[in-house]
Amino acid sequence: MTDLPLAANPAKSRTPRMPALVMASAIWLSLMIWVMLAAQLLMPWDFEATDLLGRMKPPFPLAGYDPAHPLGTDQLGRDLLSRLLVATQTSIALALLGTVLGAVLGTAAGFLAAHRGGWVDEAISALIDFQAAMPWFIVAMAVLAFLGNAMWVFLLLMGLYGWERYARITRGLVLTAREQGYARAVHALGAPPRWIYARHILPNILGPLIVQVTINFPETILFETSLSFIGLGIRPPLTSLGQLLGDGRDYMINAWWLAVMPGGVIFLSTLAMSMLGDHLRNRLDPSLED
Amino acid sequence: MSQAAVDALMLPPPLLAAEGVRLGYATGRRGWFRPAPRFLAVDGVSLTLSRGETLGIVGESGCGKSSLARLLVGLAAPEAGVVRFEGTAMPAPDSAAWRALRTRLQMVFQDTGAALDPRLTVRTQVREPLLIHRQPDPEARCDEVLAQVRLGAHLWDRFPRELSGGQVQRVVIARALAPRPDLLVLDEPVSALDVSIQAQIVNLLHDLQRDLGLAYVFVSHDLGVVRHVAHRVAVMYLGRIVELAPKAELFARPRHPYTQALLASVPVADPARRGARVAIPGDPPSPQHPPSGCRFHPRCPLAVPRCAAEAPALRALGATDVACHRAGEPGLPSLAAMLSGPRPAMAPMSVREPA
Repeated sequence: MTDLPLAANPAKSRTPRMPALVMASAIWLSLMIWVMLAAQLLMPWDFEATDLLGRMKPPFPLAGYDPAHPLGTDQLGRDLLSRLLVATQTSIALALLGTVLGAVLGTAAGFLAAHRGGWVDEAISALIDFQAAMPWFIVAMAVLAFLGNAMWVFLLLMGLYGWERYARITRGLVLTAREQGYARAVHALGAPPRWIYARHILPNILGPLIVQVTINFPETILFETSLSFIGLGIRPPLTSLGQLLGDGRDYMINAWWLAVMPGGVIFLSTLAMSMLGDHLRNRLDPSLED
Repeated sequence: MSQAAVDALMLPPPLLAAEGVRLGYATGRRGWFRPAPRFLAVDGVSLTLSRGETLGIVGESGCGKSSLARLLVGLAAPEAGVVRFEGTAMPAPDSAAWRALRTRLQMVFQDTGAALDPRLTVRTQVREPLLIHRQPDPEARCDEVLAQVRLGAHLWDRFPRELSGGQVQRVVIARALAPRPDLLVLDEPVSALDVSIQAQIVNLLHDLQRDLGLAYVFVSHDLGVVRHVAHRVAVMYLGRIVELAPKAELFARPRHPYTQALLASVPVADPARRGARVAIPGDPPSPQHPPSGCRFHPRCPLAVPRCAAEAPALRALGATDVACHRAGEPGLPSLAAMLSGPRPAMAPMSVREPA
C-alpha cells in the first residue's frame, strides 16, 4: 500500500490515445461483425444465383465492369460481393464459435486442474502436453477425411484447436491467484470454492485470457480457411473465405479478383485482430505496466 | 450429584479451548521407503479463552504462532488434540458446519496489503461475508460496521489501492466484524504499519472489544504492542507454550528464562536502563530437528542435565503457568542478570542436537 491516492489518480485518468492503426483495426473488425450479423440483408444478389452470360466480370474500376456487380462475378456469373459477404459471415462466425468453445473448454479444464489437484491435475496437464505436441491441422485433415465434414465435427475440431493454451494459462493463474491474500481471506470468511472462483479469481485473471482470445482468434480464422481451401472444410453450396480463395485460385490468370478479394479479407481480418490484441495486451497485462 | 459436578454444569464452557493441539508440515517429498520429512509447527498446545478476553501470543518468527492462530480459528485441522468453540469440537475445514461457524469466529491475516481484492470497492468487500452467509439487510449492516471502525464515509466506494495502510486495515477489520463474530484472531495485525497508525488500530481494537464484547487472539512478535492489548499472554518457543500468564504478572515477574530474555531484549527508551538489554545466545534451533527435552535448553544458561532429558510440562506457579524445570527454585538468578554485566564462563550455547 505505497500508492497515495494522489499518485494513483492521474495515472488512471490519463487514458492513452488509441493509435491510428489500432483504431483502423477496430473499425474493420466492427465491420466484419456487422457483416457476420447481417450479410443476408446487405447482399445485393442471391449468392448462389448463376448468370452464365455474365461470367468473370471484372470489379468496379476495371474496363468492362458491370455496375450491378461492383466486385465482379465468378466463373458461374455469381455476384462476388454477395458471395464475399456470405463467406465472411460463415468464416467469422465459425472462428468466433470455435474460439469461444476453445476458451470455455480450456478455461474450465484449467480451473478443474487447479481446483482438484492430484491425479486430475496430472491427467489434465498430460492432456495439455499431448494436445500441444499434436500437429492439429494434420489431425483435423485426417478426421474430416474419415468422418466427412459434418458441421459439428468441423466446429468441434476448431474448438479443440488452441484449448490447451487457455488451460495452461488458467491453471497457472488460478494456482497463483488462490494463494493471494484476498482469496485466502474470502475463504476464511466461509465462501465456498465456486464463490471464490467466480467472484474473485476469474475477474482477476480475465486480462491474460482475453489477450489469449485475441491471439487465438486469427489463428482459428486461418485454421478454418486453410481447411476450406484444401476442400476439407466448408463445401458448396455453403461458402467461406477459404473456399472462395481455393476456387478462385484456378482463375488467377484471367480473373485474379476471385482469389485476391477473399484473400484480402482474410489478411485484413487476422491482421486487425492481431493489432487489437497487441494493444489490449499492453493495456491489460499488469506486468507490462509502468 | 456432587458439588463439583453441579459446578461443572453451571460453568459455561470457555469461548475457545485448545487441548493438546498439534500441527505439522511436510518439508520435503515422500520417498519410496520413507515418509515425507516433517516438522511440528505446533506441538501439544493447550489454552483457553473467555468471552471478551484478549490472549496475546508472542514468540520469534518460526515459533509456530501463526500456525497456532490458524488452528484456533479452524482454518487448519489439528493432527492431534482438539479445538473447542463453546465446548463443541471445531468441524473439519470446508465442511458446511465449518462454513456456518465462520460467522462466529473470524481471522485478520498478516499481510493486509493483499487481503483485499484489488478490483472491488470497500463496500462490496465488507458486504461480502453477509452475502455469503445470506444475512439480512447487508447494505445497512455494511454501513454500520464501516462506521464502527471509524472509516470516513467518503472512502466507502474507493478501491483498495486508493487507501493508506491504516485505512486498509480498518476495512479488513470491518469485513471480519460484519457477520457479528464473537472471536477475532488477529495475526500480526499492526506489524506492517507505522507506529502512529499502530496506536490508532490498537485503540480501535480496544474500543471495539469494549463496545461489542469481542474476544481476541492477538498474535505478534512485538511485546510492546501485546502489552497494550492483551489480558493474558502466551509465550511460544519452537511450537510449545513456555509461559502463559496474566499480562501484569508476565511483565513484572517473568518465570521462564526465555521470557526473561525476550523481555530484556525489548529496546527501552530510557538511557538509564539501557545497560540491562541483553541478547539470547545462539540462534533458534531448526524446528525440523528440535532439541531433546526442554527445547530452550541449548541456549539456556540455567540448563541442568534434566532439561536435556525431560520436556517440562506447564505447571502453575502463582498466577503463571510455566514450562521450566527450574522456575521457582529459591535463589535462582534471573537470566537477564546473568547475561548482562561480566559474562560468567558458560558452556558453548550453539550446540545443535538432532532429535
